[in-house]
Amino acid sequence: MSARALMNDRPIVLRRTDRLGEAARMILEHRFRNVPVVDEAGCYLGVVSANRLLGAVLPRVATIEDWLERLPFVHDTVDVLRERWREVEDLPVSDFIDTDLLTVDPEASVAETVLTLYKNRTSLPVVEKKTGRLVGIVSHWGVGSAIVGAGEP
Amino acid sequence: MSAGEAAGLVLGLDPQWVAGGLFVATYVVVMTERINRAIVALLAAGLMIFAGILSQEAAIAGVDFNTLGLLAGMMVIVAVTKRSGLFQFLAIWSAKRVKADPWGILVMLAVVTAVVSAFLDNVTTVLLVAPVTLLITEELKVSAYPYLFSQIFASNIGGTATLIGDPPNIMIGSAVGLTFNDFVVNLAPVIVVILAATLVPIYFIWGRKLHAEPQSRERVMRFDEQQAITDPRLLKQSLAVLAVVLLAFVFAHPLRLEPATIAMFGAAVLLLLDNWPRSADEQARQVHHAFTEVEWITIFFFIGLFIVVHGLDSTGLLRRLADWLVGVTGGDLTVTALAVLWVSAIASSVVDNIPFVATMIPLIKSMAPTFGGPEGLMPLWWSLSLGACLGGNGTLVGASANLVVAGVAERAGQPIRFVPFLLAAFPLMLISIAISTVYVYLRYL
Repeated sequence: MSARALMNDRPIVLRRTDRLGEAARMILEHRFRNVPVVDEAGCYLGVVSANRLLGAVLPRVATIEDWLERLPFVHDTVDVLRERWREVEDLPVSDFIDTDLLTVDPEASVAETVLTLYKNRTSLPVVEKKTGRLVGIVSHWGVGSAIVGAGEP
Repeated sequence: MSAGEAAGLVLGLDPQWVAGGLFVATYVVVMTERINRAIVALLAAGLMIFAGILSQEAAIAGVDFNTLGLLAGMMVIVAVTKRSGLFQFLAIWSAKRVKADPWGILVMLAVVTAVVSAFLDNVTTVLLVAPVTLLITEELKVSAYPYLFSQIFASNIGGTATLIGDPPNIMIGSAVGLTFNDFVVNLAPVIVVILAATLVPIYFIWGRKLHAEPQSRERVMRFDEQQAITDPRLLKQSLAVLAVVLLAFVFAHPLRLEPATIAMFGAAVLLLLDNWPRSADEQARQVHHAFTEVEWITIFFFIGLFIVVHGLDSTGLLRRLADWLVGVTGGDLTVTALAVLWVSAIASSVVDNIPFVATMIPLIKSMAPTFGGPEGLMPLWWSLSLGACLGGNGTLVGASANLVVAGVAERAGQPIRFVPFLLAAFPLMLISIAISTVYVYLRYL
């Protein structure tokens, strides 16, 4: 038994040329924490995360390392955040891809898959080592269903 | 007699050749940045001992613990103080004093950077001011480049004004026995002029084109600097300790205190005030955190370098070099002082000023007999300080603070490139050295 048994093999994905607004719509509609991004050949490039969307409406410097750990002195309103969103929503998602998420090979063992998911703290892209193609995604809900529920990922 | 002189031939070679070769190799490898500079300096220090040029005892005697103690002590004080939010407060407060006018903010942040750099490490200062600068320029929708550029200059200029502002001054002060007040009295006046003179071309290059929309300025005006103070208790403690430390530097001579004692004691008192209400575990974590903020690479680089230069000095090579230089300048103090100033500036704009100054100190000391004893060397020390500190502004690799700001700018998507920086910075650096030339000539020669 491998990662294939736990993954959703028809994940919703973004192309790198899709706009950030489209990524936000997907994330809000499906309550995703991240959406994988693939190239024309279906190869995995990274993810666009809900957290990255939040970062896009914050002052940029506040999201880099720990330069400004807190912003208690900034009194931006929701209108200001909305204004920042308008400035970025038409940009391609390729500008907002996170590549530091762990991935797992479809042939990885169940224990290895669950451990990697546990370390990721968010959904786990299943990527073929040889081809780099995204073949599925393992979510906490999928694993939970397989263990606790009816066994359907 | 030093170990080097006692050693005679080293592996069949003249010790001066061996020490000189090791020294040049150290310089070259440090410049390539292929291997971390602390590793290079420590390896070279070990080789000085293995080659028999220095004994371990002589090597340790060559390490200036006054410099190391002052550096490490001030680093700990800054590490604790910065948690209070003091520096963000200062930056926001200064921006609001000029009603968020873009040029006014540039001047204010440059002045804040210069003043803070005069008392604290330059790298730490720019690391604290640059992020707030990026936040403010983002809100104003103006390029951060002129702001970061002026802060690089301000940090190196401000650092020149005091004994504790820049490592070359710490080294010179410690080696020659110059006090905090000596530096302030002799260098601060010209530093004020240089900072003002530097801002003029910056205005004509960038400043006059800086404009921000009223609503953007309003956003900055809505920043609440009081809220930037994240720990009021720590702020009071830090300000009290910093004030006492600075007073101790001012009165160090009558109190017969060395800078390292003052800085280290100040660090210990601040750590005590910050930690005494905490549990033992929490204290261990906090103290460990404060100590991890000490730049150990710089400290160990210094240790290795002091040993390498001491080894070189012990062979008599630097004395020979000094004699040669005196011969070239004809033993004329004016020519020698201005040569030290300009050579230090040009050299420090391309190589690290720490090894350069470490080498120049024994070399200048060797010139004492020519210029009527240690007192006669004073114009040379001030020329060395001005040249080595201000020269760092000449290129992007001239000083650590420049590289740190460039790194911050790169991460923030507003990169500072080597050649464009050079084209603006090198002439500005030359202006500062020209002003220093007039100052040194009129005041000391």
